[in-house]
Amino acid sequence: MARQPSRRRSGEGLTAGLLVGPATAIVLLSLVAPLALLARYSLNQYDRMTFMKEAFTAENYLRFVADPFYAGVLWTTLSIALVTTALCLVIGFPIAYGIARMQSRWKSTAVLLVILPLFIGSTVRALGWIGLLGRGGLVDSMSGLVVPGGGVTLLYTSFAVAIGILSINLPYMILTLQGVIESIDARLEEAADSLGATPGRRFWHVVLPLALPGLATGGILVFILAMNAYATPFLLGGARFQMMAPMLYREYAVNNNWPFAAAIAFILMLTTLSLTAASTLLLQRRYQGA
Amino acid sequence: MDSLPRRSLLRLGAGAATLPFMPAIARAQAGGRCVVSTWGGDYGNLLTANIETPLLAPKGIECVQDAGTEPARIAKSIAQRRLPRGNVDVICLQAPAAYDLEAAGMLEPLDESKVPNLKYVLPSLTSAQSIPHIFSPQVIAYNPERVTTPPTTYSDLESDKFRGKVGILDNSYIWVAMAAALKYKGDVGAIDAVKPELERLVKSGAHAYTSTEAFAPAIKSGEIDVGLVWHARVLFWQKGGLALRSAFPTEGCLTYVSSMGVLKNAPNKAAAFAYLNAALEPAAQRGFAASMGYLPTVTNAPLEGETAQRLALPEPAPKLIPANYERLAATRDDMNDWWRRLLDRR
Amino acid sequence: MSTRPPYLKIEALSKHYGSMAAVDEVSLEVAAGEMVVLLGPSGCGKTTTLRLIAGFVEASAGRILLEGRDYAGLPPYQREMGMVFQSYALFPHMTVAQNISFGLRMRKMPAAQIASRLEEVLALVKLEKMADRYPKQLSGGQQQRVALARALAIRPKLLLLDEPLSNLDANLRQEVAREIRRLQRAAGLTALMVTHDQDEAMAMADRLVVMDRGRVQQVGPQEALYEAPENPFVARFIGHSNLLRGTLRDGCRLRLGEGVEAQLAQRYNLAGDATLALRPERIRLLPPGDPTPARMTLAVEDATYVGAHVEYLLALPGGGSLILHQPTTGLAGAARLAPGSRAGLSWDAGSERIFDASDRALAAAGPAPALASV
Repeated sequence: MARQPSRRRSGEGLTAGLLVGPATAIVLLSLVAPLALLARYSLNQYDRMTFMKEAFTAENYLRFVADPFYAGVLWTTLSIALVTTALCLVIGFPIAYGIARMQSRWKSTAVLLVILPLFIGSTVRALGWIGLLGRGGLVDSMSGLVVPGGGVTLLYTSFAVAIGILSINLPYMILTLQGVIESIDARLEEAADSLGATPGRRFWHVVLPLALPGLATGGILVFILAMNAYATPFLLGGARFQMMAPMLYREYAVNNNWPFAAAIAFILMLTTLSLTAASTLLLQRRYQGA
Repeated sequence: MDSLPRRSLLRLGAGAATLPFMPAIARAQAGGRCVVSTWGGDYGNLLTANIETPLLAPKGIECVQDAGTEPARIAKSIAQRRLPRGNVDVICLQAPAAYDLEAAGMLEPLDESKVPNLKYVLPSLTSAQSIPHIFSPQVIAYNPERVTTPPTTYSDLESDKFRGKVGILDNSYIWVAMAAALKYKGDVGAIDAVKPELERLVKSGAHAYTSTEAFAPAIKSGEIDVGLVWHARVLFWQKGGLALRSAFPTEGCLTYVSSMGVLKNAPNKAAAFAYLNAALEPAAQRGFAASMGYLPTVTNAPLEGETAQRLALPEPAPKLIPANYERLAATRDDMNDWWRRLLDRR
Repeated sequence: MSTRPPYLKIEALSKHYGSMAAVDEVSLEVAAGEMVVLLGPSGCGKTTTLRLIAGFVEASAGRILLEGRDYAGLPPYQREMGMVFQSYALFPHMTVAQNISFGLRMRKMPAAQIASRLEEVLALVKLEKMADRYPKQLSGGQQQRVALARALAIRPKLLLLDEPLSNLDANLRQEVAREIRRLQRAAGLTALMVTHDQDEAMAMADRLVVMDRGRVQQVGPQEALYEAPENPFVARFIGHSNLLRGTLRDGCRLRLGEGVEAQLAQRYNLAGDATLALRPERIRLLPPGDPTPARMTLAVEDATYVGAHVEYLLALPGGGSLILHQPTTGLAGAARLAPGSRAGLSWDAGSERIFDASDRALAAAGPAPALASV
């Protein structure tokens, strides 16, 4: 009785393995191979004439670690990513909740409204923000009307970058959360209601714990997106605002310093990965402890 | 681990990049296909309108543009440099980048037997392995509605009346540095010697723009009043109705040059040389002048009519000074790093 | 049900979705300690009525009074009504103990009191050993008991049960039904339950409310609904009734169609369209040679032996079939009527029910004249 299912399972495992095999090979080739190549590059030396010299050195990493300038760029990137992720969670949750619990025929319209911005590239949206936040833009002229002569130029500030990234990442967060909230049986909330839980306590004791895996997924998704944002910080942050992805691109493409660019890429990736892993572990422990 | 040398790694990467391309090229004498690595947009369209369609198509050369940003295209050609046969014939670059590829030994040497029109090229613009396609002097652009006394020299940018009103294009900052070097050191190559002057300019509130397109709205909105840009850009924005004038610094104007070169592993060199020669034809040169406001790089293509009037340089003719590409290349990495930190306002 | 004011009073409660009335002027009175079951086909408005009472849905019109207090506009978390859901709706991230004490914690009850109440309720549903399990580690029946315990723990003013048995295995239902009944009685709770299963409803209710298309069709104890349905819908829905439409003449002859007439047992003050309801087990099949005069004679279509009775299908004029259940008691060896043969039928006065053209039940005006013997 106990043996039979296990034998069948191992048979299934074999079939599954065969099915997954080619896909795994493709993933390995298309994901791991370029990473390995990049890892190798990061240990090479930059040479002005030939662009890259064969070597086996950690100097690219040391350059990044030793120089407070680069640590500062990483820190800016991190803080922008953390702030936008937090805002995405706080703003995204009520919207996602509203859409998930919507019963009317407007629901699909609401979902469409959330998805619609995803059809427009981040560059185009950044240009929109430039028109809004730049000198002579909407915010500037409006505030100029309120306080004569006192315009506000928000373009090329960390605020502009944060709001730009937020607007790009919010739909991802909302869509992720919506799916998770929809999977939470509405009856659970009614049960909490009938047992005397006020909306606030219902949210805290029932909805939030059950949505936690979704919050983690959405949070990690938008955090990674923010850490790797390129067009938005480039266009809305301006020349004086440094984030990792534009800096990486500049090293790679403008300075043609591939080894250093590869090292930056790895540092960015490892930072993102380790923070993601840490947050997942933390959540898991809290979840189990609760 | 040394058994996995970079050469083979590069070849691996390049091979992968080549796969979707695989040009089937008939290697006829100055016929067949010619792949041109170039910027997209206006420049690419004008290449088609002035060179490819009227001059090369009749010779049986079919041109294909591989359009992209300059850094991306350079990166690609570097990745493919070890291949015996690449997939790009002609590469269009700014002169400093062309110098880099030349110094890296990636460009085919040129002479009049390969590109006969080389004999008409302005002597100050010549280079051994690339042709100057078009050029434009660097000028001090200013808004005549707000600037009553036009600036006359680089140091005017540092005067109090332009405090906080100077615009710098971030991707061309090195040209500002060279202009400063020309003014203060009398030597366009003394780039790293003018760091203090540049720092003064930035600290006094100069605006830096990450895209060229951001310059015009900044002038229009009054965020800035002056800035160093190419004369051709001023002409272009004037055409668009922007109140903008060019002032030619008395110490001389640096010349921005857009170049073309033939990669050493070009699959169809004969066609590539024909392309370069066609680019120097007077008709092609005049076409670019009329559309983009860049000046001809050859002596046998005098401008005529409205174009001549619009593009005419002031009298007495401003001094046109080429950049010192060798010293620029030597100091650029260090300058880039320094500039990044200077702008960083953390 | 006496002179005391009702514990729960529902007055003309309505819920409209656009032009559709999901609940249409439902009125109901429930005495303290009573178990009332709302019964009806799916979409009849019974669940919506329950949700209106729980406060999950806002009423379009009408009043809900509990102990004389109007509950209109009161949010569900202030209504103190314990709800048991069809899906149980146990909190998956909480243990059995945490689930059951949830309502107590929401009431900010002191920890010691929570612990003792928890123990009490766990003992009540016999789940003492499961306190630290998570819902997914329990069987369906156990989950059901946790859901019930959770609702009971808060000592609700009203216990609401939404199809509490329909997710259980058939062989478990009776047991759980008795358990619910035992707990409800023991706690003296007033309860409203919703179900679509009439056996379940009959087994558990003190009184039943039959609903259809948003409206209450009839309220009453099991027997009243069974013996004296107020309209054809109730007659058919509670138990089973053959509904025979025809034209009533002389107050006691119902012409059903070409050459077929039913001689009624009683007389009614009505002429014209009428419906006769007859329950299959209340019709007697007259054996050949029986001297009793037949009230109606039909042709046998089919006869099936199903254990407790033989189910006969008899052809009605205009298509349909009349179903008749002949008890098998004392029938051993007796020959069944073969398909095609004609059968005489008879029934008692109390077994027939006549509805007028607008589906209202009619009271008999007196016995019909005796039938002539064949």
